[in-house]
Amino acid sequence: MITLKNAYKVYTMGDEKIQALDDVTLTVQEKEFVSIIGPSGSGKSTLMHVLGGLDKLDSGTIEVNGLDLSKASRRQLAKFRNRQIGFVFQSFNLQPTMSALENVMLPLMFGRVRGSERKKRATRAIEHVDLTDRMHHKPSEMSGGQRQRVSIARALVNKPSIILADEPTGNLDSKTGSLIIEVLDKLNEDEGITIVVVTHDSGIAEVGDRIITLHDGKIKEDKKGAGKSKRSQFLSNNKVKT
Amino acid sequence: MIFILDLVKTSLRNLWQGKLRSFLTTSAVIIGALLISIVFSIVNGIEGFFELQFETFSDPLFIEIQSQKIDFSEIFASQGFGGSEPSEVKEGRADIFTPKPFTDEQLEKLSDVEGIVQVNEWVNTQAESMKLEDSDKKYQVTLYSMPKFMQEKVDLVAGRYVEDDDEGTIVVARQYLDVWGIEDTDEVLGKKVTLEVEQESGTFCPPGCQSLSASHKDPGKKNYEMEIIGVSEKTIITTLAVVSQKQALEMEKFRRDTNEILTNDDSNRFVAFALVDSVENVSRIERDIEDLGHNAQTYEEQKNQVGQILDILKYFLSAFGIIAMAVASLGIINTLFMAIYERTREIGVSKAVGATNLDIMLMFTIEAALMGFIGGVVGMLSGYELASIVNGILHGHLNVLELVSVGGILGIILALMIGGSIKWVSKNPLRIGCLFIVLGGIGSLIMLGIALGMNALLGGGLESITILSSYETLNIDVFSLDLLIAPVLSTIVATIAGILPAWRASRLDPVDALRYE
Repeated sequence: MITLKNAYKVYTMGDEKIQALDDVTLTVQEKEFVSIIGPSGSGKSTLMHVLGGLDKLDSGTIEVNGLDLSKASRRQLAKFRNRQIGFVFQSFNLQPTMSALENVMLPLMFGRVRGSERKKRATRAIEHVDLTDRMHHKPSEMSGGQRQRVSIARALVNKPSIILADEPTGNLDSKTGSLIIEVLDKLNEDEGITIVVVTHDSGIAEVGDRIITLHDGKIKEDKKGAGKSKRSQFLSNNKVKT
Repeated sequence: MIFILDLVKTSLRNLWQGKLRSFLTTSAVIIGALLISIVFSIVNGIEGFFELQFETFSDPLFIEIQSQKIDFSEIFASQGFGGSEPSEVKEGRADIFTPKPFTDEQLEKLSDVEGIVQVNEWVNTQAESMKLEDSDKKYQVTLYSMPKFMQEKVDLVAGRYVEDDDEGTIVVARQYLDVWGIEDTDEVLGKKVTLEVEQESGTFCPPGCQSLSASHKDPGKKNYEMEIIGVSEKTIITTLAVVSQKQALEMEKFRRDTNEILTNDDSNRFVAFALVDSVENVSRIERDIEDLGHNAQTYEEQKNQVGQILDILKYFLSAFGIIAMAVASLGIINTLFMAIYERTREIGVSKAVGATNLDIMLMFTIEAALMGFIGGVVGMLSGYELASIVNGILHGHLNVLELVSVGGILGIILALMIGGSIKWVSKNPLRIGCLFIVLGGIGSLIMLGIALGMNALLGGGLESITILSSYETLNIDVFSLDLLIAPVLSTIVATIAGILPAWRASRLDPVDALRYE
């Protein structure tokens, strides 16, 4: 469970001060599928970084699965990111020199998992995203959708409780984008992983059980989304289109 | 530990990814390690050779005795420098500029020291030249008048040693046979040589003492005819010639134009040699000698002196290599800063998936350490190999097998570099194998050609550069463990150089790093 109370965060870009989070209070339940939507500069990326323990709040509290992130040490935060959180980025952020398998093994390496166990778990994660046949390929030898699936495998390899996806479909065409949503849906459904998807695309945002709209660092709207039904519909729509 | 191995693997991959840059950065390390290794191989070789040579003239049972103990702390004081007040003049204190010579009584006392078998004085004489009968060429000569027990340290290739009471006999170094053009060592035995001894032109006169220089007379010359009774094995002293002490005494009397040689009136009677009965007694005897007011130098002390001088030489010359390594560390720092710039995103992702600051720091430090280590090992091996090849050339014979393997290895390294860069090759193990065999083979063949060609030239027209061929035991490619200083030092220097960039990398804010395009 994620609990955010009276969160404030200001960052400076050049000479300009941007109020990225302005008194945000938010609770995300376990196994929820949440979309966060808002125009660029609305603070949604900052919110995601804060939830993932990559960034600290200026004031307010944040608690994830019982850990108070605002009081945690850097080492504790690193461990938290390693065990509890899986990040999926818009630009995949895969290591170009490593094969898919090696990329997926990276979190396990920092988690000090033994070599044989590491390979076993990474292989299973790759199976999960249906990429077994591309396991030994480098990112440059894969399509965008395949790369994003590798990055999802990397995010889930440590069995996190939360996956934070920042514009996961942003660099993909709608067909491959829908495949990514399908994978995330499956993880939410089968593994019970909490999914937080950040997007500026209202079409994608619709797939959430809950849609949170951010504007100038404030929560403008927090409504129920179409959720599961929309996800299925979204998928079939896209499938029809192609 | 597993984690460190992972980081080593990752770092190796990163270094391989930027082969050219890694190579350029590492080459400064290689040069540094190479210089150090060459210096060490050469100096070690010389050291070993000196030790061997030293043993031909000395022995653990010998003690060199100087007539008077020299207290160096009094050197300055005796000249009026140092100390806050005039120091007391003690009886029997040494004046280092005019030490007191031995007296017969002192030598008598020395012979009586328990454990000393024999005390022999050193007659230091010299001859201007040595000429073989029926020849008009005169050659340089260094006369040694050693008692037989000392001569026996040098092996003879023919004939016998000079007996202590011999007169008119001489043992010459084998090198003379080369210049005389005699191949059969036995053939020279019984032949006569003429030693030309020239009288001293007077006592040493410092600038300003004109009154004495006026009394200079033309030095007299005298020829001594000697019979060659032995030929000694080659030693470091190319112009070695041994005569008996009796003979040397006679020559020296003429040379210095006095009968007071090795008597109480001889002012040059400073050195004697003692033969002791057993090695265990050496330190006790040394103390006894020093208690008598003399200075004793044992075999070990003399050996250490030579070793110390060579060690100083070794570390002094290594300074060039160390400077190269210091410069290399700047290159490493620069390369790592570039790498941080390029891999900002990678650092951000690593942190996002759970890397701690320490992990990131280790990642870059290990990369630096690896550059130092690889450069150090490559430099050490190539330095040693280079010394080995030069040694082969100087000795007039290259080791063909060694050179061929070096060629093969270089070919394979080249194949690895080419194969790694061309996808068409690296994709297929069979193609890599073929490239290995072809380039390794070409490398071996080239080196085989060079080795055989050089050997032919060295045996033919290039003999003049085979300057070490007379000294079979002088090798300048002696590998000893202290060569490992090169890679150890380079690894340490590189690791230290890596710390600052690594620290910078570890402090990168993951949010900034992920946003970074």
